[in-house]
Amino acid sequence: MHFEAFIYPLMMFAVLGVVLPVLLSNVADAGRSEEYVAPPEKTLYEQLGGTGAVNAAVDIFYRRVLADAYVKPFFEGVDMDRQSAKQKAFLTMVFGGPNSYTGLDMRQGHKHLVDRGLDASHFEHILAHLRSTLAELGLGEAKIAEVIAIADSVRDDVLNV
Amino acid sequence: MSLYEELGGTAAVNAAVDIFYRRVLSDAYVNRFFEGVDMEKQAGKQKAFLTMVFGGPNNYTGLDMREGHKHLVAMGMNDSHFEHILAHLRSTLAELGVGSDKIQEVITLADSVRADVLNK
Repeated sequence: MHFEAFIYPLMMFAVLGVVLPVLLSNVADAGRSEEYVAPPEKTLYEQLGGTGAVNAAVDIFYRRVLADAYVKPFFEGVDMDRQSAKQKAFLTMVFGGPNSYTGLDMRQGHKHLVDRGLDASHFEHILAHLRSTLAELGLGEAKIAEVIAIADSVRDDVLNV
Repeated sequence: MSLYEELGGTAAVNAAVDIFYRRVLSDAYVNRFFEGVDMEKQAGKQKAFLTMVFGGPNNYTGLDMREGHKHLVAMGMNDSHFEHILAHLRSTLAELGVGSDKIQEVITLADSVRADVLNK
C-alpha cells in the first residue's frame, strides 16, 4: 500500500523524464526543418539610428530650407518649433519608423501656400534639400532614392492638384 | 531690356556665379561631382553659360556640353542631380532679388541643356 503509493509517481516521473525530452526534441527538430526565414530587414529608421537621426535630419533640413531664398518666403510667420515637430512625424514615416502619420491634413495645410504661388518648382527644392540632408548624413544614393520616392508621394496633396 | 541688363551686366553674372558655386559646393548630394575640378576654370565656363541664359552678349555654343559631362554621367549623374543644379540656380537668382517670372525664364533656358548634360 505504502510501496505502491510511492512507486507509481516514481514510474511516472521516469516515463515522463525519458519520453518528454524525446517528444520535445522531435518538435524542435520539426521546427528547425522548416525553411530558414531571414530576420526582417531593418527599416531605414532603425539603420539611421531612430529618433536621434530624425532630429538631426530635421535640423539640417530646415537650416538648408531657411537659407534658400526661393522657398523661404513660404515659411514667413511660421512657428518653426511646431513645423519641426510636424516634419519629424513626416520623416519618421518616410524612414519607415513607428508613426501615427495620416497625412490627412496635408492638402488643407498647404492650400494657403498654393494660393501664394507654391508650385512644382518649390516642391523640387524641398526634395532637393531632403536629398542634400540625407547625403550629408552619409546615406547612399539608393537609400536616398527610396526616401524621396515616399516623400514624393505627397506631392499632389501638397500642391492641391 | 534683357535680364542681363536688368541685373546689371557682368557684375551681376559674377555675383550669381559666386553665390551659385557656394551653394553647389555645400550640397553633399552633388559636390562629389566637383571633386578635383579647377573651380576657377569652372566658374569661367559658368559665367559664359549664365550670360547666355540671361540674354547677354555671348558666344556660348554649348557644343562640348555633352562631351564635357560624359565622365560625370559615368559617375552616376542623373536627373536628380540636374534638378539640384536648377534649384541652386533658382535660389541664387531669388537671393539676388530676381522675381519668379524672370527666374522661370532663366530656368527654361538652363533646362534646355539637360539632354546634352545627361547624355540622353
